[in-house]
Amino acid sequence: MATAFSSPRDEIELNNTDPSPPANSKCNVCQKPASFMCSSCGLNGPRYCSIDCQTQGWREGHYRLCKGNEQARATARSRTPNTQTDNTADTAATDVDDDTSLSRVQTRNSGISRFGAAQIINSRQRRASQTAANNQDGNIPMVELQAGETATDAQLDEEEYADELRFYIRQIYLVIQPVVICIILSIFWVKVSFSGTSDYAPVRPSYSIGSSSASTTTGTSSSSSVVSSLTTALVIVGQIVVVTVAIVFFFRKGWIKVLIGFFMIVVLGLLGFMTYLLLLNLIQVFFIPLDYITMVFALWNFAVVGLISIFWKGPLWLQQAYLTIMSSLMAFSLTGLEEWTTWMLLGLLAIWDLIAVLCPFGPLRLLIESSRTQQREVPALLYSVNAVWFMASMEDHFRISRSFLPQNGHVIGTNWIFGGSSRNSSASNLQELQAQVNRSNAHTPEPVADTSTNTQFGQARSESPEPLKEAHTIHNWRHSSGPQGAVIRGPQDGNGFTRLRGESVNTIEINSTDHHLETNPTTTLETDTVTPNPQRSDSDETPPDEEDAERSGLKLGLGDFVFYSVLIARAAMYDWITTVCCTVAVLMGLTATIFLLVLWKKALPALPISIALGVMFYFVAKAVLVPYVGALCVLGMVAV
Amino acid sequence: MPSLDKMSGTEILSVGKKMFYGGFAFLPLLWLVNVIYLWPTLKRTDVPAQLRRYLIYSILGCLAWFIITTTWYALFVNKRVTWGATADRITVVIPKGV
Repeated sequence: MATAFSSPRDEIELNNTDPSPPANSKCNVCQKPASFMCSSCGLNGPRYCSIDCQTQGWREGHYRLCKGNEQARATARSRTPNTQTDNTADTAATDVDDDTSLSRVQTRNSGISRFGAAQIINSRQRRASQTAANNQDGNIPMVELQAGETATDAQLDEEEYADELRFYIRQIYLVIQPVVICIILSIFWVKVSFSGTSDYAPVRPSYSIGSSSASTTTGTSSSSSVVSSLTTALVIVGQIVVVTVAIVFFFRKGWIKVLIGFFMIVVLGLLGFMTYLLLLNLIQVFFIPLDYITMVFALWNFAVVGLISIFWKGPLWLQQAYLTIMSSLMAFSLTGLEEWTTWMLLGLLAIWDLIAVLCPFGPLRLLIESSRTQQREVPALLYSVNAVWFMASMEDHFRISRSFLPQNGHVIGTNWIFGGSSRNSSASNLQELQAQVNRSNAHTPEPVADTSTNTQFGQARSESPEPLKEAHTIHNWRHSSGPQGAVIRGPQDGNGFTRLRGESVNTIEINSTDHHLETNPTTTLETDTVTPNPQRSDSDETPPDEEDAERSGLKLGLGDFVFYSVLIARAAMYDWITTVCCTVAVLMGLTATIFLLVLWKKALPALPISIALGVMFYFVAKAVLVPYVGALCVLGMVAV
Repeated sequence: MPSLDKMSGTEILSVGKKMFYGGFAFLPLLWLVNVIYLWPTLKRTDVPAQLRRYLIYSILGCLAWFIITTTWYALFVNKRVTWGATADRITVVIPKGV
């Protein structure tokens, strides 16, 4: 029921002042005598006195000008690489270049969100007009040169931007698709088992306590039944709260195996027992003759293979299918509750979700924080989406970014787990991130563990015998990191590059990153971390766990799946009109949550908006739409 | 969960082996998953050749189980009425009216 949403990191636009082209053999960064140059740009490129300076120069904007990068971009667009500035034009170019890039910095720093299309476009136009104005002062060849540059620049930006948009749209699609499937499955189960021909429809579980159990059976809207359904709902929510707190407790204690064992039992129970119950419904409604031998055999296969593929290994689509089915089974098992119990349960859960995720001492939030400080992955039941995306494409990204990711080691949990208590692990807001950065600055031992990417990057440079080659890889990487390659940018990754990499990566804020770009904390952090652990560099060679990349993306706790489905299953028990209305409302709520997620860039509870909309739509539809359509049919105004 | 691309050939082989032996616990579905999961890796050069053998055995075992279960089920469905009470005893839910 909690959510784990995480948006992939925004790409940080480092539109810095472009380093001026070679002032012969002086370092472009510190103006000392230089002995290195950029391997990709060759003689026309910038010079550097040391690898550190090259690193800095790269970060300060050379990556944008570098020929290696240009070529990578050009080949990516299957276009001929456009020629860099000539040496002759260099000195003249510098002024104009600086102006335009400065303006770029300003406009970018004003905090462009990924979806702030208008802003970006505006800033681009501004930039373009400024360059044009600047160019009028320059001499003629320069004008052409500059115009060409900005044109390609803008084109590049447009492309990157379009890429990002596509990435987000795909993410949203990837998260909504399983939700829809889960909802449809639940509707199907409900429609089948409550069609009246089944003796095995779920009955209300005996949650009610003591004296109220008698009154649960007496029907409708007497005050006692309200009280009893409230008690039932409270009991269920209480169980969920207890389980959540227990998970947080175990996690903080570090008893991961206990957690995994617990999750395995839950999954096995769901896949085994609930499938059995559902099967009873199905075979009765559809008159399937089935013997126990076959059924036990099939159930055994289904449950065990599900367990293996969820917790150990299996094709990704199988894992996702199992998780979706599991959620719908869970929702099915909850349809036995009374109507008012269901609504109260959903309302309480939405509130609990808000508390757990957003309150400073909410258990889910504590879970996230402790997982970050302990650098351990949360074994949570999350439907994470990105694996699909990564498997579908972008092998290049993997290959290139691999060398910069430290080995993740053995994965503790699974990405997917179950949960009435599943939680988003992907949350943090700006304050947290900054706090993290500060903390790791404060404690010197900590930065050692928190190797940021930039650190990795720096190390790779500082220890490679051949800096030029390194630089080239970095160019490619920088370029090819479209939306998700963004995994590795910016100072905030200081904490991200631990076990929990995915989580913090997901929640980077552009603004903060931009601010950090030029400010000292980041650089101090980097230098701090670079020096103490040179041994990390060998991890550069080892391929990282896919988790790194996989986990930057939208994540949705399975609990959210379950309770969306519960809501819609309850609606499906009334009428098709309410079913459809609620489905639309829930999906709308989900989309709105994702939108807010993109705006706020922190973990959000996925339940409240969807549940509120769903409940509202249900009652409105029930009170207005259903009688209205009924009346229309009766009056013959609709051809049925 | 690391993807197959990131796993070395020997790791993939061990996964295939484990899934193959695990399949003997009346788990033909596991064999099927094994084949579907690992078959694409056969193209890779670093995967040991034994993997193909395990996968083929998995296919065979899966087929055998498929034949067994379908035969049994066909028998059961067709002979259920004639078997009478014995069949009723092993039927999960006796279909109404048949």
